[in-house]
Amino acid sequence: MTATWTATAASERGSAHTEGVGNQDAVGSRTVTVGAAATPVLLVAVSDGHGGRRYVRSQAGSRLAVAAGLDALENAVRSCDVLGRHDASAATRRGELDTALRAAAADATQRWRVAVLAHLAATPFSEAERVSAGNALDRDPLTAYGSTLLFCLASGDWLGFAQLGDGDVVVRARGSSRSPVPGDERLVAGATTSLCLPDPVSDFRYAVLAPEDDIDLVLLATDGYGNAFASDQWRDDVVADIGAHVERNGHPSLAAELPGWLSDSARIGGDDVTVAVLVRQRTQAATMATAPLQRPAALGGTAPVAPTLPASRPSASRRGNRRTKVFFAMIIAGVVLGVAAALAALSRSDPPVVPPPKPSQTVEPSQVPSPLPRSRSAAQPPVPKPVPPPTITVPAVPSQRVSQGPASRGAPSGSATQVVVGPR
Amino acid sequence: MSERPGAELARRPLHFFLVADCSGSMAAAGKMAALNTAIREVLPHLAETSTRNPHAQVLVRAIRFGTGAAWHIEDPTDPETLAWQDLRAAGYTDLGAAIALMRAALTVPPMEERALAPAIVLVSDGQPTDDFDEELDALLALPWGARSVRMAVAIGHDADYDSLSRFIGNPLLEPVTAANPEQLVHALRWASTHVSRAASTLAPAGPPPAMIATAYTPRAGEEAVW
Repeated sequence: MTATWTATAASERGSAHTEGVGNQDAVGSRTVTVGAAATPVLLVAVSDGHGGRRYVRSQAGSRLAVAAGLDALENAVRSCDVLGRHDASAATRRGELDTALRAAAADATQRWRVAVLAHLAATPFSEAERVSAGNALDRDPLTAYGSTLLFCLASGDWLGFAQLGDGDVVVRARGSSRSPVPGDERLVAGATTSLCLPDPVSDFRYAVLAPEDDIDLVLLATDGYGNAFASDQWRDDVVADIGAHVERNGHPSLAAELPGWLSDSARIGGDDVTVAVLVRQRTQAATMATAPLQRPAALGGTAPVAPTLPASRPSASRRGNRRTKVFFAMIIAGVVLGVAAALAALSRSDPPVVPPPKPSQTVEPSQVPSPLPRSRSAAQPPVPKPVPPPTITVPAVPSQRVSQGPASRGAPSGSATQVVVGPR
Repeated sequence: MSERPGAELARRPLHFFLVADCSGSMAAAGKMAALNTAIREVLPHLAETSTRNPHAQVLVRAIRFGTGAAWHIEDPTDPETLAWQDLRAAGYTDLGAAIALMRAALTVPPMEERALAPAIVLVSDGQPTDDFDEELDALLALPWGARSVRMAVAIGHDADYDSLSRFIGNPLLEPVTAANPEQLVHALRWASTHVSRAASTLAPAGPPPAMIATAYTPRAGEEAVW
């Protein structure tokens, strides 16, 4: 069996923004192929431009951060030998992925700085920007572009994350959610680390997740998403509900609905809201061989905005016990069938060799051979065939799209002020 | 459209702190009564600010200080439902004790991760009689303390403008002043609106009216009671 990943994303401007201030979040993705086997790797980056008055260019800063993050991650991935091989040990693979993420973080930081200075040279600060920022722009122009950066790679059953600043990485494993990236105790009271600080590389935090972690859903979000929930225990409900939605309705439905959901969060929480969802699927290797990656995973960042739902709309997580019972029944069935499949796999001396993908016209998200057959896949209900949402505008691999939410939707505002740890 | 994933959404809490001087000098010339009246006038404005804000829910707490300090309203309370009990004047001006009390409320927890910047309004007519500077430094060393939006209302000419300015901590802002009950209502209303709007990142409240600005000088026909 082969693990594949489909990404869907959206970004909405916060209701607290003052007139003329656009969405300061950005999100982008691309898929690259590495190694002789042309192993596809899905890359996703999310950035949150700071909302304070000093950060007059943070809308550009977040866009540049996403581009820098994807470029750096692509470079690192192409240099990461283990991603293109299936014979590397788990320890080797984990170590090299960690190294690649750290190299990407350093490279992204440098790329962002170069891009910011180029942007500034092409577009000098206006007098209005100087007044807004308190005339400190020339001493420290990077601050005006201050942004966070969060990026991840997904390749088969391996995942890697690097995070600078606030925001959330939430993964689902066997029905439970967790946050794999280590926390940063400095990120309280709206303070965040940032690309505009003197040594951002040292502030990145990392996580590598292996096949045994059994991750089937990843949610990347700027802090505006979590801050809109009444309870800080929102992560369990969200990943469970999104996973169930995709299983019931498929990815096109998620891409269609996500902007509307985020619009609610942006209206009530006030801050810009960006979410990228990566969902794993299991497909037969034979199918994968004839249906290789043709273009990057879908990103819904510019998807049409669905009508805003009332704030009182009931949560999907409170729909009663029926779904929970069904879920547990599926889990039990999965365990039984999984044990059987695992025993069958262990009876073989070598892992199956999955042929590399061949070109075809089939549109599929990243599809990666799994080093070992996954028992879970045998027990999972059929997953709808992923069809990219209608908003894809990205050409064939490798490609990139950096999207930001609508820049002028008419809402008033000034997103929740973000204070950078360090210079204030 | 299908149901939104996750639990309920909610406006973010905006904790508003009123720190009121209840020293013995506040008993003179009707200052204490005027302050109680001004607070009752301002609460509906805070309630309106909260109601009209799509993403911030204002929650009020109050600290009184004289000889020592104590919570006057300890639980975060919706200003619309708040029944104000009169403050009474007695004792010294232990502003440092009040800051220390507030500091405990601005630690994490009890402050929520998703809260907006705290909004604090200090009202005083005199000079601190305890270690105000040290306590203020400790408050500002807290992440939420440093993030707080602060304004001060000076009652009468005996107020310590230097301490109040230091409390505000913004060189572009000075304490607003009140020389009579009417001005106290205006000053408290402006200060409350200013910090609430700034904390919720809405557009600033604009400069204070001339009649409560620091440079205010009573004109003919205007009464300077304090």
